Amino acid sequence: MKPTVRRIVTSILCLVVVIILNFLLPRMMPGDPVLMLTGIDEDAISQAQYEMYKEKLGLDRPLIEQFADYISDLSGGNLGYSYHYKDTVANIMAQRVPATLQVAIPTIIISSLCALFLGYITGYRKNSKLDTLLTSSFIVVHAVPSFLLAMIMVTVFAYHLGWFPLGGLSSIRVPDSAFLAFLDRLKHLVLPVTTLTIASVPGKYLLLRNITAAAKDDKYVIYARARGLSEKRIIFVHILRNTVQPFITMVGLNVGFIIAGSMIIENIFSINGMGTLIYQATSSRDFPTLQGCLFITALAVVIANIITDIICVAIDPKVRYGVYESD
Amino acid sequence: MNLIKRLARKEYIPLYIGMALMSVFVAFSLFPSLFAPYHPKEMFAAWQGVSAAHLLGTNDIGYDIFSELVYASSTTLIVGITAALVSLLIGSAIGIMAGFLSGWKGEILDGIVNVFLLIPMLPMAIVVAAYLGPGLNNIILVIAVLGWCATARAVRAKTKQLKQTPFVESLVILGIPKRQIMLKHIFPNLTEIALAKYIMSVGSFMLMEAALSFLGLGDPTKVTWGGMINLAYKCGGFSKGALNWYLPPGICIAMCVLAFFCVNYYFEKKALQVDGDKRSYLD
Repeated sequence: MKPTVRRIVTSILCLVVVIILNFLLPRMMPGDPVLMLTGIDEDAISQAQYEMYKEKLGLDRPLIEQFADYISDLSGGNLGYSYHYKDTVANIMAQRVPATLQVAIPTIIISSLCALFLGYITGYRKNSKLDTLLTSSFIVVHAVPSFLLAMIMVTVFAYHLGWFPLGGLSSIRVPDSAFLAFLDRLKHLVLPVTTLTIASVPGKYLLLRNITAAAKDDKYVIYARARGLSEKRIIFVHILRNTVQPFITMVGLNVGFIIAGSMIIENIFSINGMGTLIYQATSSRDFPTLQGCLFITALAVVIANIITDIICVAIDPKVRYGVYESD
Repeated sequence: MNLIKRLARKEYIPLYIGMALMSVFVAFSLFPSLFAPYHPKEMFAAWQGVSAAHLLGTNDIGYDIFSELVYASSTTLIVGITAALVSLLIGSAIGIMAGFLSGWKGEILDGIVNVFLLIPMLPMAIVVAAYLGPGLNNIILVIAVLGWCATARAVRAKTKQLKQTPFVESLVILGIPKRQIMLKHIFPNLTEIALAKYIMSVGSFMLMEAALSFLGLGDPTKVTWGGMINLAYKCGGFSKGALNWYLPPGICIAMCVLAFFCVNYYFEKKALQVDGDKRSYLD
């Protein structure tokens, strides 16, 4: 199998594993699957109701048949029904996912660029003063849980300084003109995006610094230096071009991490996205919704990975010949 | 004099910081009653601010926050250390086999590691933890079972490297059974990387536990730092601006994780000096 094909197959297998786990978890875990999938208490359900739900959910049939149904439902976009919200999970997701993406997508872009810039510079000058300072401060930031960071941000910049709104994605009264509404949205996004960026830069920075430090002793770098090229050119033209594949792969892998990070901090910024949904769903034990969140995240990760793999093949001939596989 | 000079060298600074922080938290968890002025379930007037009697004030039902902090440290440490141990066992076993075995067995194990690396860990952990229900053992189980892949990846890469060294090749030619090569000859060469990954995992698993407890999936019968922040958030400590309630547990988590990161940073530098390798295990 060619390495690129293998990677795409791996991504798809990951989705398959998540689907299978999503199917098996309510049926295999201790506890009654009917109660779990409906979220009704044992005392509150009558025998007739129980039988009705059991038939409706198909739990009285063999496992294989249930799985076939589950797959055909999924392919039709049916993620299940949340008895807590009295709505299909797909509908709930459609309402919540855009908010999460508005936080996640800018974060992915900004944090990747920050990490790229800082990581390549310090990796090239490993053990310099700048490197020691940046790396040690990033290790400290790496240890701070993202929700603490979010709370500090809100306390300082929203409570005490009042520079940014306390939460939400738009003001109570959204301005009429499209431009002002956009500015309003931007103002609300500053704090969550900054928080998540700070929380996600260290991991990427450390990885890129390693990659650059390993590449800087390669022969092409020594030649470039001997030709008298400026440091900036060596780093951002020569080294970047040769190490772009791991960078792009890392951005793809990061999508899941950032969506998960957004899930944690959304509560604190009172953004009505998947994170708040998960918070409410865990306290009300609303399993179909939780599973929907997991499925959507896995789907996003898999799509991001496939896209990054395709980009890698398109721009880096080394990937086509499987140079990196020896690693 | 020489000894003092040697011990004061700059490269030891991260180790000292890490050890100092770690010993504070280990002392907290071993002898909580020595450090905590009150029992964590002793009730006082609620919503008190910082004072001499209550170093960090009291929360909404009147528990002393500093005492709670001290008693919570053991739970977090236990979760981190045990979960990392389990994941180290799983990760290094699968990592060695994925790196050393060739043919379909190796391919399958390789594929398993790659697939698990892609699964979004936090949402998965949330769902599994929600199904398993609250409880310390369940949290440890969830984190360990989902978190082994980073260890496996590092071990696999190192095993693949070792597989190409002359000493392993000659062992293969001598006809030594594969299991013996893996356990007796490759495994001892992996201790450094396994240790580095273990220390790293303890730190990141404590963060994971904090995130899960913050989302309300922790053990409600045990006080944990993440759980304290969750309570502070739920019971209005955050919206009332009770800094003394929600900041200290978060800082404790950060310090505790930082301690492990620092120690790892030192060991890694040492290992790199010996190995001449430029890779870091910090990512």
